[in-house]
Amino acid sequence: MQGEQIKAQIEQEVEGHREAIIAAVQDLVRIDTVVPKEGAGQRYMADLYRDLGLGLDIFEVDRAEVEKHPAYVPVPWDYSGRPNVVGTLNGEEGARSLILNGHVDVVSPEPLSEWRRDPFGAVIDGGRLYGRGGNDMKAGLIANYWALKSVLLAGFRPRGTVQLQSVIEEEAGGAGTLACFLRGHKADGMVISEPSPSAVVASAGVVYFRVTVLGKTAHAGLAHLGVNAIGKMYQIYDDLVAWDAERAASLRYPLFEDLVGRSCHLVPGKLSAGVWISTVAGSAVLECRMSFIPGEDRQDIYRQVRERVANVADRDDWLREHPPAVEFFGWQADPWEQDPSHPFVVAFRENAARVWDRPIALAGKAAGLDTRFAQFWGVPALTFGPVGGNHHGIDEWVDVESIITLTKTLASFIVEWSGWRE
Amino acid sequence: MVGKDAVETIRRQVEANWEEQLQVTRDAVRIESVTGHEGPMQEYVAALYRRLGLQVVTVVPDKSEVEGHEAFIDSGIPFGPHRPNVIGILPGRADAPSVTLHGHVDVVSPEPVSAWTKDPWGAEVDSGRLYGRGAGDMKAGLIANAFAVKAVRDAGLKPTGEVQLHSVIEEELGGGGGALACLVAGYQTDGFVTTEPHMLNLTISHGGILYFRVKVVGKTAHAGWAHLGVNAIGKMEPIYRALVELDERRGREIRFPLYEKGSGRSCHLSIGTLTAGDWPSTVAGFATLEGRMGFIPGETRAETIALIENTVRQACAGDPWLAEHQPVVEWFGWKADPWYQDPDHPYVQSFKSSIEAVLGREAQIQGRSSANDARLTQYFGKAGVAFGPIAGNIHGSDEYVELESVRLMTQVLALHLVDWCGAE
Repeated sequence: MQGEQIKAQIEQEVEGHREAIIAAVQDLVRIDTVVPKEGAGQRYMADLYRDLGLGLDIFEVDRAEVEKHPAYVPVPWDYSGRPNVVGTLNGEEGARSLILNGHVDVVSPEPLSEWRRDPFGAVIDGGRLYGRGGNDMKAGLIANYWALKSVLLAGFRPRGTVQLQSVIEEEAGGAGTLACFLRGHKADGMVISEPSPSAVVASAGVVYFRVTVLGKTAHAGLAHLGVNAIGKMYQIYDDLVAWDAERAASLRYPLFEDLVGRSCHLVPGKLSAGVWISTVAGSAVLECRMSFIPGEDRQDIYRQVRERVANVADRDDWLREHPPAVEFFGWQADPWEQDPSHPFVVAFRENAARVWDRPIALAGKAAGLDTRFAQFWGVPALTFGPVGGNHHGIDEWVDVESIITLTKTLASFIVEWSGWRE
Repeated sequence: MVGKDAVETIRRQVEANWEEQLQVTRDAVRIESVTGHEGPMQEYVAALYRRLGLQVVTVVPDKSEVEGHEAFIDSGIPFGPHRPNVIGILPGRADAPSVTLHGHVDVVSPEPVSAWTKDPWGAEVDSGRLYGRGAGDMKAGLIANAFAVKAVRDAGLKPTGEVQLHSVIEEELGGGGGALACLVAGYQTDGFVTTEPHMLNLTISHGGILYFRVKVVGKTAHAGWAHLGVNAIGKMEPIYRALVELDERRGREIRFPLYEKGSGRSCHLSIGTLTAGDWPSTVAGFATLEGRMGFIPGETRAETIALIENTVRQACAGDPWLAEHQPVVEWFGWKADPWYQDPDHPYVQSFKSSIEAVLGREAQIQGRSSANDARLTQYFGKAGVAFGPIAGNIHGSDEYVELESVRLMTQVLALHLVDWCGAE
């Protein structure tokens, strides 16, 4: 049989299982896996991998081990009861190996009251599957699994080793994928099936930081003797918003801009100030996320943030005397770029273009992706996945048909990249 | 007017009873009675009133009877026999002036306890101060009320008019099931004093207080697509600024000399909290601001509510997002009317003369920016004041009361009973 015929046969196999594939995505969306509660979701994934006869490596992240790596993002919770699940189908030495990776964790669906659909209901309506994590990225995680399963059901076996990875904590820093690499799980190419209609070959650097401003408490009945930290914080907020606009106007990274319409973002995401209604707010804490482009340096970004806040403080009598504190916490990711002329990228795009019947553009993502860890091990990597919307937002959805097309894409790419035997 | 002999007789009797009064006050501080958990303290007070030979009645608030009253504030804590109000009555002649000596048994939480250098429930006496949560606010006053009655009777005097001792719950959360429930139940007298720790000054007024909350929605988006979202923190900013501006304007324009004398300002609009967003990598989809609005006698709750709501609405003008997504203003918790007791009322004059007879100086008449139960008398056409000891760190850590001031205020109260109710 010729390659094209084999691919067609495998894709036909996917087509024949579309209901089971969608049902599996629904099952997984219904399991609440808001980070760090990945345990139940990982048990579900381990059962799938086990049923497929893969060699299982179920392991908890070893904090002492990952902490040594400069790309590790510290988290406050521990790693027990929420393992990575890796399933491997061993192939021949010398044949090209492949990793299909996905994360099982999702972000909080709050504020729940804004959702018109149950975030853990996985309701399908008008060709869309709604729910937290449906798009980001339980559809991709299930597509990875069904891609390999379809190859096997069609009566073929990949020549090279194919590995499925269901990892934890992508949304909080990526210790799951980092730990897989540190454990020695590598391959000649890696696909992460995060939602994206284009082949993502670059990701932004991302840092989180927290600004703390002190005011002066006073009873509300003597409020004129206090200093309200909220008002002081708004000076900093305004400046950060202005800086965001300046950066957006002056920095250009076409791969990011083509995809999202912007090269970088600085977002104040969370503000908490004061503790009691009848006391003047004595402190305010603003938590922000800042993205930056390949070519910008993470250490230099730290310096700029501190300088920016210090300059605001310098213009205000109270803040000059009570300098705001800046700390970097959580996400601290370097930017990532994958050479798009690498044969892995070229082969993936060609195959995907055939399946989707459209050109597969290159893209960069203005968010940190687990693919960035691959650069530390010299593994070519890209991100490509289903069509959807509102991820991290209200009424997140994934296009049902795109899940099937994605599964076909991944299934045929397995034999394209790693070869096949009957 | 109070005669010199009476002053001296009362002084001696209060001194004679002092060791016992101190002991009882310390016992009271040791009984934890954070709002909602007033039961054990009320049992203690009821026993004390019985020992004094008073008729003791309990008033268990009935929500259906108080919630319709314009001054009712819902504490959110269920009522029941486990937290009654306790009233002790010394009957008198119906044609003579009657009086209520009033105190609340509830205290605010001592948290964070780690900030205390003394045990909040230890009732330690150190250098003339009694330390503990509620020592000043207001167990010293509550117990002094009882010992004022005791001093008068031990001195061989009997007040002509009726004397009531009110020991009530939940003042710290508005008094809806406490002082208000007792007044609604008919326990009203011609005069009323609550012995709050007002530094031996005579309080006749306080500002109105309203708590409010403004909620703004934005549009969440992943931080990587933040330009497609709408940040609720930014949308709240013009509202915050408009409220600050309103406060500054009112600080300049609204004058009530009685308050200005005490706190340097007649009224305050203070923003206490602002919370927005719940995840640093998501554009903040909501923002909630909580504030406290103070207003002066002559201003009404309705017009104050309208003022805030208009200010919020105007702050949104010109912002298309806010025009489409109008902020919500909620009124919750404290919603107290201003209170002003005419200082020329005979009751106030009587009380003032008793203060001056004991302290030997002119009584300071004051207004305050925080509320107390005496305001509730205005709805029943009765005279009311607040007067009590010198205390520090009220609602804070290492709260204390100056014991010398407790002796003095007890004398003032005892003298006041004789002066106002008459004596046989």
